[in-house]
Amino acid sequence: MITIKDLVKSFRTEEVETLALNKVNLKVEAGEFVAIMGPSGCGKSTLLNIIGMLDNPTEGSYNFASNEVAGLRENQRTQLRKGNLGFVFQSFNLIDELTVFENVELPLIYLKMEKAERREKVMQVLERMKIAHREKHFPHQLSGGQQQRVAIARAVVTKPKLILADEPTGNLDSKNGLQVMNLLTELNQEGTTIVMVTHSEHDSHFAHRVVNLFDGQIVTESQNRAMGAEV
Amino acid sequence: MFRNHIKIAWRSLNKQPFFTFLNIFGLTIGMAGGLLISLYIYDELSYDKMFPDAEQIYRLNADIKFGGAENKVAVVPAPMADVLVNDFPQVEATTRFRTIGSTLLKKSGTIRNVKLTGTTYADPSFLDFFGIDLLLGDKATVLKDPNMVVLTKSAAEKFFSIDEAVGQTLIFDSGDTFTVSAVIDDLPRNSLLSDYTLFIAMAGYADAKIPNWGTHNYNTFVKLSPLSESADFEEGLPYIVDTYVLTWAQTVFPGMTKEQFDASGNYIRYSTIPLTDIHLHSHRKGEMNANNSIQNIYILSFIALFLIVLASVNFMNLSTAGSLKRAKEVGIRKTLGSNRSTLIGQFLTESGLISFASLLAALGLTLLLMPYFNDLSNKQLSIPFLEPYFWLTIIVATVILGLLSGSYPAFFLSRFAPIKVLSGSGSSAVGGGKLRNGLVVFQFAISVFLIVATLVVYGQLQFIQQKDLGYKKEQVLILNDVYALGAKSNLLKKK
Repeated sequence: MITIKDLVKSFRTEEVETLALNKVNLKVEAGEFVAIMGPSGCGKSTLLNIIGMLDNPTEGSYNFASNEVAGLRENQRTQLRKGNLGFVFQSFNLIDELTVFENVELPLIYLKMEKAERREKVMQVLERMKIAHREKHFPHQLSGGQQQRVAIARAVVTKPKLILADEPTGNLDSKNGLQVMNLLTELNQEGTTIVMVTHSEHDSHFAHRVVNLFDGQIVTESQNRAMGAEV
Repeated sequence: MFRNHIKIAWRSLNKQPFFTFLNIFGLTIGMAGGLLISLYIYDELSYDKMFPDAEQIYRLNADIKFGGAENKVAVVPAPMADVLVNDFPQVEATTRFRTIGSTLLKKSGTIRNVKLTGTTYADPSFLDFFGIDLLLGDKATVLKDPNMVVLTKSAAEKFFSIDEAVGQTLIFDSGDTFTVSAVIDDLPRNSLLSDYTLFIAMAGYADAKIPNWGTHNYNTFVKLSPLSESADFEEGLPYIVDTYVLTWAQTVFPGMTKEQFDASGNYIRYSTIPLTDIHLHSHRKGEMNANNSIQNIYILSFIALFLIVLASVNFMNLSTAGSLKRAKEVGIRKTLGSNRSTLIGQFLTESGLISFASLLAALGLTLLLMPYFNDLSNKQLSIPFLEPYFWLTIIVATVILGLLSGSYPAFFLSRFAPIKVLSGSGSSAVGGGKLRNGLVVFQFAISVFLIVATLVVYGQLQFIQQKDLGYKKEQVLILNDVYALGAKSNLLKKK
């Protein structure tokens, strides 16, 4: 699904040029669950942003589902991202002015789906995330765990091929964090590819494969025996 | 999508009530100011356009240099009107007024004089010429005989009940008696006849019948045929000087030739001005009404535009200053598949909502301020709620204002890169925007200018109010129309 070759990302300021990613090569197969780990500043979020088509690489090639992404303009990347990718962020990133239902509905609106179909899909995913009873609540009325479940619901409502999770449990207590990881594992078991950036050794054990980054380069890759869903 | 935009816009505005209030308040002030000034300008531009055939009507002007003095006047000699009709085929009709200011008169059988301002001798043709209908009276005979007058409705009401006005006798202060031959409605406020309430038959004014080309006292209007050009007509006017004025002059200065007249450096030049241009473009001696200047209209137009631009800049500044709060939302929406144009649409919807809320508030504020503005401008303006064009204009203007005010915030906000705003780079992610700084400087400079201007005007007013005039104003009484006392005025003086 993802083939990255000799990917370079540098950030240039007036005085210095920082190399965030240096000749990164990575392959992620459909249905895989990959964790990206490494110390702060090693380039893992930069890599996730490029995989998520939020940013363009400086050099190299990024192929997503047989589409070359490197060099696409923002609007082209938005089109490719729409419906194919779901995002889960550490800080949830829900829109405060929208209810739970409306937040989850938003990606479907951008896909120009009919209202009745939207309602059906949103309610299905809210039921699955066990948050349907809060559909009319606003984000600030929910706990952190509930907000992250809404964020996951929003990420999966379009049934994307790939979910990108950036420290998905970083703002949650261990109980809620576990629930979130279980949800991601379930989604992966149903066929969704997941790429997750994490600092947490514990969370990384849910992945099939762990990629370790250091100074913008992949230094090690290791296969896990997936823990599977825990209760 | 649009419904979603409206919903989000409504909630965003609701969420920050003070910010929303500031935005709406700023735009409301700008729009209300702009609306009041626009109504004033519209009224000024509408002068004399209500008369039928207004586009075919011109007034004769004269530029006279004689004996060293140079005069630009709005009046021409009495015989001019007849000559124009007889000698110029393109002239359909003419009419003349000989204004005499105010008069004191009373109803027959009463002793108390009433003062009527705006009195003029008028040709009987003026009614048809300007398409003025009679409320009472017979058009066939009106002003045909000497000692006939036409009164406006409000002037007639000072003496009689309207129904019995025609045929009644009025006694002027001079002792002359006049018969009311007709009553007309009060003349349009935005016309050059607005001040006139009493029209006396020109037939009774001896001077009007004398072929005297040497005195210029008659406001004379011509109506040209629809196909004729005023420039062609004007080209023929020197013919009048050569044929009539010089001939008359030779009766006063026997033996004087045209060459001698020209060589002396003296001249009489006649010209025309369209009726609808008089109010804003004519500033001659002998005008029938106090005119305004087109320069004032330009200045006011600039002020109206300036107010709206300032309000718009204020809106842009407030919106972009609050952009950090919206940055996250932009990032999320882009991540979820919104493209830039959708986001621009959303922010423009917000500015549109603010603009329309401001429009409603501005209409309310305008209604509230209208009486004070009318006092200040000496007008009787009102918001033309029943005019479809008014609604069309202000709605289009509001949409444009919403687009203009919202465009910069919309393009600015929608430009945010999701990766930067979602990774929480703070204000550095949002970017400064040199334009925003420029707008703030612009606003600040304007504020300083307005404060200084206010202080200067305040100083001048203080000076006017506190200046020692050398007498006690409270002890001075002005008595108008003392001439009416005749010989007794000296007695009053002695008292």
